[in-house]
Amino acid sequence: MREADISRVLRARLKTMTPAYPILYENQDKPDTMTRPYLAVQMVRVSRRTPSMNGQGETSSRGFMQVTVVADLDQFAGPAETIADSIAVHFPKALRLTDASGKVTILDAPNILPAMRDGADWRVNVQIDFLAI
Amino acid sequence: MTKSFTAQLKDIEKMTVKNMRYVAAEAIQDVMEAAMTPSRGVTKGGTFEQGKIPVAEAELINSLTSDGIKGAKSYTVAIAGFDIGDTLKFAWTAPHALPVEVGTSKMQGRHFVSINAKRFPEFVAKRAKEI
Repeated sequence: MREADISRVLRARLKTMTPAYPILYENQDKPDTMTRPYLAVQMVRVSRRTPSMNGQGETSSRGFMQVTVVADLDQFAGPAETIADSIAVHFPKALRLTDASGKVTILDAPNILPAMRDGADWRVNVQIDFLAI
Repeated sequence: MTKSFTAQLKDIEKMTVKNMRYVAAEAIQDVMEAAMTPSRGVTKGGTFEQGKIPVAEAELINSLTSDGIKGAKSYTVAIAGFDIGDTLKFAWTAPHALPVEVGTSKMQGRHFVSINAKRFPEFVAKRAKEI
């Protein structure tokens, strides 16, 4: 499965979340109209392997999609954590996302990292491990 | 003198544990060496590289603490004393460690820890082939 297809399949799944939040994708400047809370996406590639030396067989790609919940400061941690939880629920372990380009499997329950303050933002990162074939 | 069957089994057991220790210790070291591979910081003229630790003032790379031992090479000491069943803890204690790892509104995450930690099974498979 091509990396572009993996990103597209995972982004499409994220877009079906309810309630929906604005999503800031990689290589995109944040529009002035985008207000918190919003989600920022980063695709992180870990490895890409083809099992045989002759180049035959399916190439598998492992990595994770990091979705950052960007929320307002001074609202306590709850609202951002609630959104992070709903992202994790939307990408359960063993979820299979299939289309003509291949299959993306969520390998484990998404990892919700410690929150951190960043300027005027409160950020909570959710990492979603995947294997694509 | 021929060894008894029990003694031979004991030898195999010792060899198996020794091999397990070798694979585990080497694979952990592979993770740490990959995570501690320096990449010149962008502020020092370097380029953005994921999976490597950025080094500008070296505060981050030198903040590694391995099982209570501080220093950029502390992981080698901790791993040297490792045995099967032990738990090793590694931490980067610089205040900017988490923002560098996961990113901020101004920079993307380097993921120098998570990318390499997730490669652990790959390192185990590679080391297992050596025994």
